[in-house]
Amino acid sequence: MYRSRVLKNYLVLALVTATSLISVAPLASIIYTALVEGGRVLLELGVRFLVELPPTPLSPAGGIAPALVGSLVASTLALLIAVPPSFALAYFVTEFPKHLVSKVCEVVVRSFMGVPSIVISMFVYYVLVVPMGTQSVLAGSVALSLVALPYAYVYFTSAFRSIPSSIREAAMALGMSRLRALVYVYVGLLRRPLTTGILVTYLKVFGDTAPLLFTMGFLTNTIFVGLLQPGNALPLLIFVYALSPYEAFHRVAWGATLVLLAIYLALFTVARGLVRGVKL
Amino acid sequence: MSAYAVEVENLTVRIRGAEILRNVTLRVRRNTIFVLMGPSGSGKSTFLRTLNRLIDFVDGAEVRGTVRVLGQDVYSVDPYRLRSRVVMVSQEPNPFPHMTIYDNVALPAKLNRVARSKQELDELVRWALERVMLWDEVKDRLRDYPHTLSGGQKQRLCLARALAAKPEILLLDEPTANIDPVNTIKIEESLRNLRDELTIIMVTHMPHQAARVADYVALLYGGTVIEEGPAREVFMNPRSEVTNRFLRGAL
Repeated sequence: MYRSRVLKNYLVLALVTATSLISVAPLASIIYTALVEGGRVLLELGVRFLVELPPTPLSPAGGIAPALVGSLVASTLALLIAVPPSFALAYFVTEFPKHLVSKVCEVVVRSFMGVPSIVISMFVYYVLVVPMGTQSVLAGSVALSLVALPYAYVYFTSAFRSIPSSIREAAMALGMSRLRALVYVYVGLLRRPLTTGILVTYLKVFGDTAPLLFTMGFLTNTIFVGLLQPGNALPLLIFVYALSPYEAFHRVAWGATLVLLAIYLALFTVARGLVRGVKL
Repeated sequence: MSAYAVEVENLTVRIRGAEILRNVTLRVRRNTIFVLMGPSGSGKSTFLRTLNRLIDFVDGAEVRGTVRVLGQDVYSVDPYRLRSRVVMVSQEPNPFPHMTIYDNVALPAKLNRVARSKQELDELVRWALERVMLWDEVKDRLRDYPHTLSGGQKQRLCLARALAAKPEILLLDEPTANIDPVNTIKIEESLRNLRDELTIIMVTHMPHQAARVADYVALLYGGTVIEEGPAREVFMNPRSEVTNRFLRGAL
């Protein structure tokens, strides 16, 4: 009896370990390949890879400066557009959950999360790119912000819902309005989940390609022109260069992949380290 | 100015259809300690929450009757302004965990514009912590966070935070229910020392605590006031059999 339970335990443990390894393997493989292939490019070019223009098809090497700058600008702008309304909406919905507006917002915003980002790209193309007559960093940012909004909203609502009722009551019992409670109590209390929400949303839009396909343009001959002019972005550059037939472009795509991964990890680690949780 | 800080007439409160308070009529004199006694579930906390309109946050709550606080009907004034004058301390110690001990006490003072300068604020924080006999225990660690305090110290911190708002009425919802006897005695002593400065309305299910601190008491049972009057009178000569049973711990 005991032996059979031990055997079953080992069997299940082996199964769990095997399935875990199978699910982690593709990710590990991607990271390994990006490290090997991208590392080679970065070791060869060093900082030049980050500050130089992309190569021409037959040139030996080039950098990712327009894509790096474009990604940083477009993602930051998208965050600036998406975070304030999603923050306000999330607070309203958690404070007045039975209000009709809350119920409608909850359904609409959450279902917006499931809309394919290529559809968002098409939508922004028709409402912004066509009237403006050009793809632009602004149009890319708007598309990214539409992707970011439901993500930020979901993080913010779960953060606000985690406020202990005793803390809510303490704030109200001291005569604070909902706005004052938010500013003076909740934001400080929720600094970690709120920052994590902002950061995860930033990382989401930083690595998203589809919203930029019809909106951002593909700038390669200079680093940055302006918000109303075409730009470039790391995921877009990786997508386009990986599909191209040129070896030089493949090398840049691998290097950009490693940079994208490094930015992901760095931002996440820094934010987790800097923002300390609150001990209750 | 009325001699009463609180005047409640025919107050009936229903929550999702269930009658929690029934035709409660009570008056609380200014600058006294009024203790509302009663077993669990008798409607004491609901009564407190009608005085500062925290009842507004309770789902499905219906309030009927008149509640006058500091001479004004509570439904004719701004609820936030009302709550800054009628501050409540809950049963569970609930200091703001992300703020230092100093900031916890200073926040309501800042929000209510009680202190105009940093020096005034420092003095007010010290005054509030002294009133709850916490100053000597925390004066060297005002920049620490509340999680470093014991449960009783946290509750005294909450009391100091409430006092720093300079309220005219202090509502206490079983403030010593979850803390040790030493801290309980300190809180009771603080309350006795405060009665000259503000009106205190406390809720408790412990008759001996009411006997130690109250000037006036009322017994609430099943949502109805059974008996009220000066504490000495009620404790020495209870008129109702229900009061008698409650005081003997048989209710």
